[in-house]
Amino acid sequence: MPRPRTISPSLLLLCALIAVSACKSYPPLPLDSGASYSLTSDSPRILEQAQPQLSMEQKLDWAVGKSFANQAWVSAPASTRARDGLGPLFNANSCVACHQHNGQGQLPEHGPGLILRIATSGANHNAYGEQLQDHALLGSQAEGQIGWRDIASPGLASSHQANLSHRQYFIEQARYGDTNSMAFSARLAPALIGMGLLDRISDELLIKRSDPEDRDRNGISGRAALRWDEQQQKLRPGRFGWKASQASLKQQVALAFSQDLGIRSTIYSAPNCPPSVPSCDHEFALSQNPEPEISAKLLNAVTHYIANLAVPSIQNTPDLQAGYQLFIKLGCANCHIPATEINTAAVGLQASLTSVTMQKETIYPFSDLLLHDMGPGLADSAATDNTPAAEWRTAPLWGLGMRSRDDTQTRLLHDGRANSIKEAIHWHGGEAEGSLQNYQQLDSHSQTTLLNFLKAL
Amino acid sequence: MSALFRHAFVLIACLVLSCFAQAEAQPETKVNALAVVKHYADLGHAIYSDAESSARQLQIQIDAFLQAPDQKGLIAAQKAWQTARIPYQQSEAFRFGNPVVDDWEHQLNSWPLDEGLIDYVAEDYFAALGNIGGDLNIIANARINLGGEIIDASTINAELLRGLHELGGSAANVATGYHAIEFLLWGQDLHGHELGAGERPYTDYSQGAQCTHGNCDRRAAYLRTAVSILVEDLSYMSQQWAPNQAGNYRSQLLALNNQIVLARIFNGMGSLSLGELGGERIKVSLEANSTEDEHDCFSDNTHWSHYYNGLGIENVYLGRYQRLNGDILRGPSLSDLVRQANPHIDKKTRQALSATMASLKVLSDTAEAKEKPMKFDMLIAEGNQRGEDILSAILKDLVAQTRAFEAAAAAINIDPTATGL
Repeated sequence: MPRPRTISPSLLLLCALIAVSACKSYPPLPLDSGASYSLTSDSPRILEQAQPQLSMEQKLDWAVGKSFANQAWVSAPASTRARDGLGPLFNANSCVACHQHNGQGQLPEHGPGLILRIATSGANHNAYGEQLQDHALLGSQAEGQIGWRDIASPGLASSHQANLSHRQYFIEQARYGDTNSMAFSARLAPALIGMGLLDRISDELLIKRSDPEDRDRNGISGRAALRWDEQQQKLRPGRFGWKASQASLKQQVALAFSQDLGIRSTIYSAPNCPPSVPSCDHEFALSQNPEPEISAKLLNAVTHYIANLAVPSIQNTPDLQAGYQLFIKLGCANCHIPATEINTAAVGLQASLTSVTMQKETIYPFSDLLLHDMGPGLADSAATDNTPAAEWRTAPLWGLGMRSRDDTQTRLLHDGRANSIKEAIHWHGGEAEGSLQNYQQLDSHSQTTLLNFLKAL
Repeated sequence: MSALFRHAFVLIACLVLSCFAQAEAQPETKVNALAVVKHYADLGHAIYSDAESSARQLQIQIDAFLQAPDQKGLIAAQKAWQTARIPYQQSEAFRFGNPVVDDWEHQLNSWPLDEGLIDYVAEDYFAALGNIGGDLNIIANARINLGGEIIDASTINAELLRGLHELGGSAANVATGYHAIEFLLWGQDLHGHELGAGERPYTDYSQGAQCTHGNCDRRAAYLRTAVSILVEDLSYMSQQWAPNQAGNYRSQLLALNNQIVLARIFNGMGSLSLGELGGERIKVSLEANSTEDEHDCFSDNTHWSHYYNGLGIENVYLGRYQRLNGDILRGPSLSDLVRQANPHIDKKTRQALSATMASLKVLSDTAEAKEKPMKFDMLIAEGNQRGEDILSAILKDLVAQTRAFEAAAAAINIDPTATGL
């Protein structure tokens, strides 16, 4: 009987394939998650730094944007014409009032930074518009104040051994009619990290990523919601906001000026003022003036400032790479996609400043920027921003470490309900249910490795 | 050759050679990085000591004024404030790159401020809207209601003012520092883009029946407290730069790798030139055409603030500082180090600094002109072409000088971003 002297090449290949897939490993995570925008620093002001590639002239423009994001806007007419136009209804009088040091907003008991979006399904919503404005200029009355009641989530708490509770938000001291039948969606101001980089992700990539019918049958059905881009005059996949309701950074900034500060721009030229508010007549009269309250030049400057903020580098902790591999293995990376390729091109304030050679860069925002059904635990009671109540955009995770460093200051998820990364994980449901179960089956050592990884981002 | 000739020849040869040697030797007195770093710390100490002593002079003038308030006393206090700005504005070249300064300076040079936090304001004052602190008026209110939380402000002391500074996280809530004192000495500048600064009457501090705008006792207490906080803060900072003090910032700095300190020095010069002076203080004002963006807006002293910022940067590069008493401090400088590596780049850098100082002088000359002076708040008015030209020239020079710093740093192999921070 002939004895095989050699192993056949095909068998060898098969073995090799088995061996490779058995210890399938992803390339290590680089630390510069913002590519050329990355900055390594322990400074508490890291989020207020310019990305390192700006030219000197661009830095001067950047300083102008910074000033208009930082300094208070005032009511019109005032001695400071460039900064007037606030209100009459508003949530805050500057960007940084909510995005403190360009970080996250505060819960309402501590200060500005949480807003209530209003569902269009309820009665009387027209009296309040898209959003509750809880401040008003002298002579006007705020629409109301933010109220809430605590809701324990016994189902979640028992199964996950985490003490989870959240708040049901509503309007208190409502001034312009009954709000009982209205539904709200509370939103925390996000940290301003890497917005300019996300702005450069191509529409095609987001559309390619979307899989609303779950054709690949992985249980994930990310959806690219098409939103109207006022400047490009076309529908584009949304990417900014908790509901991915805006496709461009500039339009997102203009929306914030309109909704949060009551400031008209070239993009949102109509007053954000419901007809039920008496002082809105005056605002509508003012809006006959074709000149917006924030000039096109200054809207560009603020956008340029936010677009060119540095992105904090990932911390090189001992658990980092092991935690990263776990993150992928558990399925978290199916939605929190680590790497995204973008085109490099500085968003200059003036056309002459944009002559940067185009090249590809890889950033690590840890998000597909798509909308996902996150289950009943995270769902609002009604749809808002043309997005179903249970759908949320995958939150980018860069900068998560600095947002969760201080346990007493941590407020994660769209309404800031999670006091730790662990709690935020436990709130995941719907399309993330499988990954959550995988996480819960980890031994405590591996769970710690994963959490340490997330804290290093 | 006779012996005499031989001797003479040798003598002449020696003389000639020694002359050459001397001519060669002067630049050959090599300056090293450590000497530059030490002298930088000496400059820091001198400048913060001057800032402290001039703040103490201000305190003396304020005390005298408050003893018996009159116009003369008010003007003397205002002059002392302007003098105190001279070393402080030069010291800002030490701010960026040195965390001991940058993390501290908001206590004493925050601007713009929401003056409604401190005292009465004009009726059409709107800057406070939406700011929790903007209409608190500490001087008029012995009890301050912060959204339900009651603060006892019956005694105005350092603890109270330090606690209220940057209230609610808002940088506009400036309760302490130069600009708070400036507001207390001048009051609001209600002239907009027209000539004229704040015109606070001295009677705002008169006790008894002559008191204007009420609460003169509390206003006096506020002013007294604010200047004592300023002195305390500056005393802390001059100690941080004092020699032979274990654990102070100077000793930490000298223990660092010289390359890191040189990077911090360049970083400080560049950040003040481009980001702060160029960006925040000039370009923003120019774009916004807003008096709110004027640095010393109550006193119309902005041109001098900018001028001395520029001089402070030049000082650091040249290793030179003229003290308030007129003494000139000189020593091993960045300029020396760069010249040794590349005389051409050093020359270019010094020229860039001189050009900026010349442009800044145009600004101060324009503001101080005997006939038709134009202060900074007039220069930034919309459509003021002369103002735009003057300020644009300064911006151009600040960009050029920052570029020169990059070349100078590269010439001595320093990466200005490698500050170890």
